[in-house]
Amino acid sequence: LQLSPENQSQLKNELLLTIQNETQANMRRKICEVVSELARQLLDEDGNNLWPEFLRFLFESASNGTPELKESALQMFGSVPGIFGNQQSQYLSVIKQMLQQCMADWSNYSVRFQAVKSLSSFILLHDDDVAIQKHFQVMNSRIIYIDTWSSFYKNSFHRI
Amino acid sequence: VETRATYLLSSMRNGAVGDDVRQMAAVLLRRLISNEFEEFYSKVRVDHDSLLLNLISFNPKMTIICFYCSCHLKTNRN
Repeated sequence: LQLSPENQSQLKNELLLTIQNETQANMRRKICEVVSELARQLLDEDGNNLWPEFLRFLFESASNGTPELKESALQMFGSVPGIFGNQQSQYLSVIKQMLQQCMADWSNYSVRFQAVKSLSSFILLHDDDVAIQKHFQVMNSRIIYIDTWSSFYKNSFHRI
Repeated sequence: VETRATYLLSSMRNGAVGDDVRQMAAVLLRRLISNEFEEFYSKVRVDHDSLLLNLISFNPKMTIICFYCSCHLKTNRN
């Protein structure tokens, strides 16, 4: 038996809602892993993303969310950096802007650090794509700066 | 399988069952999605054009809106 279309929508919507309502960091991270896995499954073999609401949630949370939501969005993007599938070239500038904004969020170290981790995952996914590497080259200095700061946190869970 | 997915989702959201149970439900749901996805979920193609229109409606930044508009025009042209 398969979920009905209504139950499929319910599953997707409730998962996104649960991330927003969760107050515990550990639990939120686990829910993000569930959502990332679902998003990964909803990318078909031709690279079509079958869950556009997730992409919308990702951008919205990373742009206008609370620090916790920004961190969650970045964690999920880092888990599934290929989530944009065959639409990625259209979203490249938006992805860059999203990561740049989060890396410039000086009010929250976790957001900045998670943005660096997500960007690293994205670049590693495209380690043979020079055009993408050049597109993100301008962010190198900020990565090094944030990574240097991370050495001050080496005893905390933020450390890679 | 579909009952398990629904049950695990509701357990994950149920604050009354305790944190350990909720975390376990989340781990099991992730594994279920990872290993048995095809058995309880049918993939349906969606229209990406509608996504671009949706994105316009929420993001207030003009530069991003312009980018979405150009993408939308491009996809329409093609």
